[in-house]
Amino acid sequence: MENVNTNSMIDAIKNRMGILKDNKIKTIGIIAVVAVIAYMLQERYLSLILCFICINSIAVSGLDILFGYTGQVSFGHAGFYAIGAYTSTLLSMKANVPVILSILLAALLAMIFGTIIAFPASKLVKHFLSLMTIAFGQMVFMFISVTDKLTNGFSGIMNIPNIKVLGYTFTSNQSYFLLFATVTVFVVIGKKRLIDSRIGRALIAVRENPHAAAGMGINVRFYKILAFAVSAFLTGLAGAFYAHLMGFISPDTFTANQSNIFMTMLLFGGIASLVGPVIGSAILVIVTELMQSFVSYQMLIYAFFILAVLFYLPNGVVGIAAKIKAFLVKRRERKVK
Amino acid sequence: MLKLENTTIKFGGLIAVNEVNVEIEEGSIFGLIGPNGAGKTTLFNIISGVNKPTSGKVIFNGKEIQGIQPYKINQLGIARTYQNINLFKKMTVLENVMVGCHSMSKSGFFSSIFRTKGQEEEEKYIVEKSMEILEFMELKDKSSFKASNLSYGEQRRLEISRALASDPKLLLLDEPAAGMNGKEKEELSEIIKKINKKGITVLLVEHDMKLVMKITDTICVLNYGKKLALGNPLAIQNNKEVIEAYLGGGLSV
Amino acid sequence: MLAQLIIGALMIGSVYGLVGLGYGLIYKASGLMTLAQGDMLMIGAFLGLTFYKNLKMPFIVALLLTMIIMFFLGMFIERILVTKLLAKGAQMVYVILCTISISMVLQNTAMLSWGSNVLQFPSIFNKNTVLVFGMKVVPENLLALGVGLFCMIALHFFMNKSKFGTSMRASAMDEMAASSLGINVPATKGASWGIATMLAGGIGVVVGPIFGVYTSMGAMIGQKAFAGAVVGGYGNMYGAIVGGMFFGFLETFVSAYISSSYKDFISFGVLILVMIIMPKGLFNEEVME
Repeated sequence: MENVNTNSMIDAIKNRMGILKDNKIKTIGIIAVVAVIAYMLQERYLSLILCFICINSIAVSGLDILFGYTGQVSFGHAGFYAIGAYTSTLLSMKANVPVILSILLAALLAMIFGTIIAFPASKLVKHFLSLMTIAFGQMVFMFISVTDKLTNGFSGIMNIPNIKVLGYTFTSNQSYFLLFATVTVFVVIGKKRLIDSRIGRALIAVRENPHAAAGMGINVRFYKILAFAVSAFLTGLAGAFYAHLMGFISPDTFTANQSNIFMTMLLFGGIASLVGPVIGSAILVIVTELMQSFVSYQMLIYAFFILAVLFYLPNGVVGIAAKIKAFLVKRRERKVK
Repeated sequence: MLKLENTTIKFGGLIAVNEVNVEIEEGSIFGLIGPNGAGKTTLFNIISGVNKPTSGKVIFNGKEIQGIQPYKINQLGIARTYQNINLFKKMTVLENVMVGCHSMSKSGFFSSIFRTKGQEEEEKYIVEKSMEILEFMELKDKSSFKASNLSYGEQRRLEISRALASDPKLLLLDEPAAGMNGKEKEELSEIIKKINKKGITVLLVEHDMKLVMKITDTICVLNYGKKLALGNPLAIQNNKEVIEAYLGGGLSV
Repeated sequence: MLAQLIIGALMIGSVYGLVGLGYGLIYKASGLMTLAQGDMLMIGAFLGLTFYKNLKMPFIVALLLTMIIMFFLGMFIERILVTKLLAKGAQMVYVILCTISISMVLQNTAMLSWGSNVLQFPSIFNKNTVLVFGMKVVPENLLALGVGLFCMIALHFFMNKSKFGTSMRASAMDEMAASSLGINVPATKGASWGIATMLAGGIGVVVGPIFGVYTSMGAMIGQKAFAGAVVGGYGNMYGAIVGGMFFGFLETFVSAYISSSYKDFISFGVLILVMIIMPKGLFNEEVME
């Protein structure tokens, strides 16, 4: 009897370790695929689209950690996106900070704002939290629109410098894609590791049942603040990337609409999942581009996606994929019988 | 081990717990009974930190803990279960218990992302420990099931498993037998005795008198927030005031 | 000068108040939050404009007709979309998202139907200014203020003295008890959404002549009205009016004496402060967990 028990325990541990090994191979595989794609991409336009997908994936993964895993809604994430973009722009242009450093500092500043907002926000109930995040997003938008001595207001800022690493300057969309894709892969890996750890379990516990979580020694408020901080960092990072990629930013990109778009991407792709944010970003970026000629219908299209998710795809594309998989497995089982 | 000194809590004009003085001995199984609304769950809430008493003290191993936040109280060594099952329904059985290990583990944000050696080893330990607890509670073969797919009795056992994961010295069980059938109650009694044998003090709120009389060492009876009686099961069964307090004079044993 | 400011503040305050009390109505009736009230105001403005300018109806007819249409629009949204969504077990966050998408649909539809330019109301009154207590006042401001106050008073009497209004209050307090008394609770819910959008649409019609009519006119107003509802105590109708007035005055006087470009920034900042310091608002409404 003793031996059987010990074996099952070791098996459980082995399973977890086995998955670890698998991931390393998967990671290398993905990066290799990305590199090949980047090399093959001669088309500038396609690379740009892929860059957008990466940037949005990073931002939405951040939102997923906050909303998908910790259950804290945020309708104001464009605020962090803006802080990241403008801070990195201003630091690299007006303070002559090397771009790589300015990006990092911008993400950190976004994280600081996230932490500050989180203190009152972590005490609030769902609908007040929504309102507070909306108010935050709006305040950031208004600030950047109105403080034109700093931000040029609605005229925006042009000639934002390219990213330079170790003497190499990123100029082409392809090279940016390689950079952003690599970062995206690392973000997803980091997210997975976070979720599979004690911290991740605590976040999920906070989402599922804050009272029970507290009874298990989890400092609920701390974890809500942590989730905000991490989420803001990632979205701020994405904003900084956006600024240097485009070379031009203006307040129009950072409206409440953008916050809604992030939410839509997350819900459509599938919340609380690793690939959900990526899939959601990909689909919505592609759809937006395809609909360029219908730009006046843009909001209707987004609204359509939101309503589709709410009424028919509560778990997003990832959820549908899981259902199909389960269905196929059951069919196979029935055939065996 | 746990001492309540003149513990009182008022909600507006209502005195839910009225100057209760009780001492719970280490290593015992202590029962808390009383008619509905007597203040039993409220007392639990005070001990576990959900509510702060209006006056009086709660002393745990010599330290005053009244008013301390619930998560800190858990870190001090008190764990509890709830009347309504508070499991993490979407997580698996194993994951539920692993969450319970939170206070006795310490890997932080960065060690998790960079998967340091310390973090990996701690994760292994958490999985091991959780499986041990599940085996102890006879739920090991269901470790990968979703918590919502367990039977009612199994879910209650899972809740207790989760509470055990934080290495508590004192375990508060809030009506663990609620909704169970006779056989499940038998199993529950055995489990509570097993837990107690490991050295964990158990404080039990229950309505099932048979269960309470069978496994507890000492019983405290509450009525209208006040302590009505305190003694061993036999003494309580024969206490006239206690019998009167329960409508119809029936402490059906 | 001061008098002009006060009238302006009262006017915008009553706009915020009227739109804001819609939030409270809906919250009390179905426990839900909506972010589409501002766009209801916008649609009302466009409808009113179309009736008055293009179909040459008398102003009062345009106003009433718009309000009736908006009422049914609100009811439709509640009955068809919201209830279905709730029946699927959606949490509040998803209902909020639904109202956001409704807001997007309304804005986009308005843009497609009426274009993205600012449209002007033809003048309703013959005079440019009117003398009130010796001060020169723009009559459209008075109209907006008057309609706003009239609606608030009418709503007060409706909710407190009429049979259906009382049923609405009963359902809001306790659905089970109300339905066991024979009250048609779903109807009261639909009606509360209907009334909320009706009021927003109505005030849109009278605000149109002052600000012009354009597709994004509702967004800011909706958010500030929401802020007013929170400051007054979310769910409390009278609180929403007080809160709306508060923001109306805050904004008008900040704009006049401090800075007109930062007025919205400051308003939102005040909102965040209120949410931190006294989330229950002025009328002490319970913030449910």
